[in-house]
This record gives sequence, structure tokens and C-alpha cells, in this order.
Amino acid sequence: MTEAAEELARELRADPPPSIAALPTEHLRHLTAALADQRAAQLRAADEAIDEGLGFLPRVLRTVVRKALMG
Amino acid sequence: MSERLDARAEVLKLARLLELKPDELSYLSGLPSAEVRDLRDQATDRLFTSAPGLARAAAAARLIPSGLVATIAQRAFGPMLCARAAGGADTAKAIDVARRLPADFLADVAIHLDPRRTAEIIAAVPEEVVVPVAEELGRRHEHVTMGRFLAFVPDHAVAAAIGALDDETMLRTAFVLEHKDRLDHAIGLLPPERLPGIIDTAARLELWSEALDLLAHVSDERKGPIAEVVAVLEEGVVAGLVAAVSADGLWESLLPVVRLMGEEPRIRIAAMPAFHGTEVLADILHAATAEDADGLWVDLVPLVDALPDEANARVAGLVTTLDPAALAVILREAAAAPHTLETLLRLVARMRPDDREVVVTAIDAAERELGETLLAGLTDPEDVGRLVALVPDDVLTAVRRAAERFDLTAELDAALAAR
Repeated sequence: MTEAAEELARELRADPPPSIAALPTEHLRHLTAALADQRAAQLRAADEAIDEGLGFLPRVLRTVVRKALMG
Repeated sequence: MSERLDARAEVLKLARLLELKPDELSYLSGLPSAEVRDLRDQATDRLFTSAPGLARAAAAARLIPSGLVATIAQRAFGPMLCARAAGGADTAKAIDVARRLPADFLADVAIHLDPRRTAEIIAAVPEEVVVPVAEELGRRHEHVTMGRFLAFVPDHAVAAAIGALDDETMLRTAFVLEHKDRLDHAIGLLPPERLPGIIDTAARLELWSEALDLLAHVSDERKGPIAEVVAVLEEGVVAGLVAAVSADGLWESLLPVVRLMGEEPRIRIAAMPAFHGTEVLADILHAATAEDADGLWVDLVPLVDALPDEANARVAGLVTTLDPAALAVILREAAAAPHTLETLLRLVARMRPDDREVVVTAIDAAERELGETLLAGLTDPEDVGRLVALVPDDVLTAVRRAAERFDLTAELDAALAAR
């Protein structure tokens, strides 16, 4: 695998299918960046949504749910 | 679905997952669709396991009244995060919340859902939720989304969705199904009275390719009722169907339908000029004699038998123009299905003596396995009289040469003596 294909494999945590791994570097980097961006955006959005969601809960319930969210 | 359309659908699904425009992934459109799908599965797995907070939030929802969860889902999370969190939710809770959410929101969630992770929830969704969501997805032409779900939806929900979708949506959705192996079963859930409307829609909207692609994935048992509907189509509609089949090379989908018709309707449809043109007949023969046309000769024979005399003679003429490899395919298929030998011999008997030379050459070139099977079919005690009577002398001489080559002269003579 090329270096760019290995970067995609690391981002995917799996070896990409052969025709994907054989793409030009530019396209492999595009896929890797798109997935990494999407993961980062998802983490941000999830944190924001959880904070906002807690705001809808009555105080007593909020404490219980916050505890559950902490695991 | 054709590989080209399959690949386009896969690029669309991956683009949605990564929140890109499909054009931005145009460099994937020439790749094998199965590999783009594998990449999407890998990216889905990665994304859906990358936000442990979402899974915890989904699990924590059980502590919150369902009405409040529905409010938070819409106002704080939105459909994409809900879809990605859904796999971590308790099934009963998820259903209770879904009942309180509007269909357009659930349709948005469905677009982003990974059915593999939410199979248990999908299987438990009640009809009163399935129907409005299916209607909403149908309104939005979300055929690709609906096509991802079939393998995960129980029969009662499939039947409910079928009732909610119009004929065009059904056709387009079935065409882009991800699990075509489920199609045969799903068509069994289709009320028979829907078939004429679906076929009429295929004709009206020129969706024959979509309709014929479906036929390629269903059993004879399901094709039977479809054949009955096709058999009573008007001449103009049949002409459109035949033109579409010729253009897209889909004879392997249509010929079995013709085979499954009753004799009378088959003769009626075979009498239509759409089947009589030299180009169409040549096209059919080429399809039936392609190296990968496994069994298509058997499907073609009932049509050849039902054709009017002039068109049948045209088929005989066209057989003489086939290259040796194509002719060998017919001989091989006819030998393997002895009930089709009579049709082949009748075609051979119609050929001009000079033209029969290609058949003689093909028999002379036959290898042992083919020669033995062909002789066994020709000398079947029940049919030998009728079949041998059809064989012109020059062809019979070639058969005799083949029998000598394979040390089967005694068997051939015994059969001929018994006729």
C-alpha cells in the first residue's frame, strides 16, 4: 500500500478495498480528510447536543442523567 | 441493477455519510460498486463507533420520559445524531420515542441510519410508524434509502410499506435494493392486483429496464403471475418492452417470462410484429448463444415454437449465420435439454441445403461429451421416430460420423431400427 493508502487505512481502522487503495494520492487524501473531518464534526456536534439536551431536563432528572452520561 | 447505476447509488450513499456532494466523489464512480460499498461499510463502522458520548446518551434516554426524549431528539440532536446514536438505544424505548416523532423527522433519521446496527429496532417498528415514514420517503423519491432497509424489515412492515407506496416508487425502490436476494420473498408479499399497475407504470414511464432487472432476481413461481400480466399487454406496449429489452440486452429477463406463459397467450404475443424483425431475432439468438447464456436456449425455445411461420423461418436462416462457437452453445444446450431438440431439428430442417453445412461442421467438430449427449437425446426410444424423421440426410450422415467417432454406431443403428 502507498503511504496515502496507509493513512486512509489508519483513519478507517481497516484496510480499504483494493480499488480504493489503488486510487491516486490526491483522492486517497481527500477520503481520509473527509472521514476525519466528519468524525471531528460528529464529536463536536454530539457534545453540543448533549449539553443542549440536558438543558431540556428538570433539575432533578438532569443530575441523574448527567451521572449516567459520565458512565 | 446495472453496475453503472449500482456504482452511482453507492457514491451517493457514501457522499451522504461523509456529508459531501456526490460530485466531490466522482473519482469513485468508475470503481467496482461492491468495493465502494465495502468502503462505505468501513467508514460507517468507524463513524458510528467514534462518539461514545452518543451511545451513552442513547442509553441514558431510558431515564427520561419518551415525550421529552422526542423533544430533545428534534431540538438538540437532529436526525443525523439520532441515527448515529440509535444503535445504543433500548428497543422498546426507541419505539416509544419514534411514535412521538413526526414522519418527516423519522424519514430524515432513516436516511442516516445504519440498518445493520439498528436491526432489532427496525424489526419492532409498528405499522402505524412504518406507513407514514414510507409515504414520506416515497414523496421525497428516497428510493436508495428505502432500498437499504428491505433486508431488515419484517414481512408485516414490508406489506404495510407496499400498501403505502405507489407503483413507480415500488419499481424504483426495488431496482436499487441492496439485498436483491430478498426480492423474491418481498414480491411474494405484493398483492397480485398490484402487478398490472406496476407493469403499466413501467410502460408509461419507460421503466422497463428497472422492471426487467427485477425479473432477473425472482423465481419462476413469482414470474408466473407476472407472465400472465405481460401476456395480455397491448401490441404498442409489447413493442416498447421488446425495444427496451433489445437496447439493454435483457433477453435473459424476458425470455423466461415468455416461457412461463400459457400456450395461447404465448402464441398471441409471439404473433406481434415486435418479435419478427431480423435485428430483434438476431439479437435474441446472440443472447441465447453467448458463452455466459446459461440455459437461455431453453427459455428461447417456447418463443421460437410460438412464432408465426415466416418469423420461424427467419430464425432458421439466422442460425446458419451464427459463428461455430455460438452454434456449439445451441448444440450443447439442446443436447442437455432433449425436449428442445425437436425445435432445433425443425429449424435445421427449414434451412437451405447449402446453409446446413454449418450444422454439419458443428456436429463434425463436436467433442465426445457433447456428441454422446446429443446422440443420447436423438436416440431416446420414446422420441426416436419423430426426431430422426426431422433430420435431413446430410445432417444424419454427420450424426453417423459422430457415432463412429465415439464408438456409438451400434446404439445409433439400434435406435434407428426401432423407430
